[in-house]
Amino acid sequence: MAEASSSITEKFFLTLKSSDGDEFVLEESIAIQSITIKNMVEDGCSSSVIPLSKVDTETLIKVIEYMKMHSSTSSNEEEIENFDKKFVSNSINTILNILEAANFLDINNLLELCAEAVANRIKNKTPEAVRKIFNITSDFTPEEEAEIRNETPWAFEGNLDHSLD
Amino acid sequence: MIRIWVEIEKPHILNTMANWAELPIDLITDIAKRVKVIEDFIAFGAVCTSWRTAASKQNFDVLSLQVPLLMLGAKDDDYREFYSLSKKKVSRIFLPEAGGRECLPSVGWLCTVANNTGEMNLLHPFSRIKIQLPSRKDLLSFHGLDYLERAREGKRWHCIDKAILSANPSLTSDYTLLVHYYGGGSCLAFWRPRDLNWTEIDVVTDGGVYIMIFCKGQFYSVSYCGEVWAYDIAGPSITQPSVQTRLLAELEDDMFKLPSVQFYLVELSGALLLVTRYAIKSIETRKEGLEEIWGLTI
Repeated sequence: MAEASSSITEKFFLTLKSSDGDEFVLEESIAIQSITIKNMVEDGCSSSVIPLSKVDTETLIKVIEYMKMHSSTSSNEEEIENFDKKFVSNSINTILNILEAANFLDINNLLELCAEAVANRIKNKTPEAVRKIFNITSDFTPEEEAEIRNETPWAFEGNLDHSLD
Repeated sequence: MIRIWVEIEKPHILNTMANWAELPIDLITDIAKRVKVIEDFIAFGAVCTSWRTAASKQNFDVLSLQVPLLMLGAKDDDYREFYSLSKKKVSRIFLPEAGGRECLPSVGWLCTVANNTGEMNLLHPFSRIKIQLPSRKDLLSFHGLDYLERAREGKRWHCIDKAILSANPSLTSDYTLLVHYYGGGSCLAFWRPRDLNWTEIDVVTDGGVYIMIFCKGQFYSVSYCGEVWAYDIAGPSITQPSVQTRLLAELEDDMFKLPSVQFYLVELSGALLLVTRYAIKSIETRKEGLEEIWGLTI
């Protein structure tokens, strides 16, 4: 009897390895929010360490924090909501790293949260301000740039917010 | 064995700032799809080439509510100008489909009428999707006036007065377009997708149609004399176009005798309101620049 109940509550653990070589041990039930990891588990690749070559340590810590909060057993709705609000206040660079990781790990909720957060950061910004925030150099030819400016001059000048966050 | 995950305190990770233009295009598109304000979406597309690709028209959420843009008068080129109330700026949009045409707005679409040919279309100014309608000539044929198309060729001519859609054609194919036009008098006709021609509505209203609206499944009109009419037009499941018209009310007020009153039909929280605005001073009533609101129960 005691044996049967322990097999029901037995927890499985997975080891995730970041691109920096750091290893993290996580309950399988939490980790399989990532469809990529879930598929690996189902394919029997979970006995050894799961290498996540595209996710660095800093980003993986954030992703694991997110998955722990969003695993169905431990958190209530209000906690999750507050967590998400705080989560998206990370720096834009961090959010974009997490967005890429969420894409690679196939965690749809996290991908949506980050994409939404990025979209919110560019509200009411000129293209120049957006380029600075995202460290993007315009690759338009002078002709293309002139054409875009001609179509929507207000997007480049005037009282639009130039602030960088 | 149970191992416990411990958060590792890492020394500061050297994070060389990435060039985010190189994000996978799928992810840039995921971001673009979440930019809900049209002005922000246009700015998004002006950042760099990969972002411009992601900010293609089909990735814009047409369901998101926008502060209306005011369309300015035509100039002599293939662009039209729109004034953004939220940005207080004018933007030029490449829209050759509106050239040489009258544009009547409804739910974000334009009913365009070519001055020279009488060709009519529904046009979405941003996606530039065009839906062909029967022509102005088809409307005039109901009244034996189709010869006017030739007689007035190339001249500006205010024939189609108003065009009202029951629903947004971007979202459904179940919609009806009601047009008010002058074909000898004040006339109404409607068209539904798949109808080959307009269907004329027998208008018996006293004093021509002044204003129309679609509200709670029916079209309503108010005439210059204060008559309120309802038009119940059969949906697309009924192939044969049909309409039931009803006189709802005859509003009696001095305002219907004044020459300089503007009427507006407005839906507000499910109620239909008739807003009237007085432009000049009336000697008897001394109403000047006044607005009055009448509630119509429907």
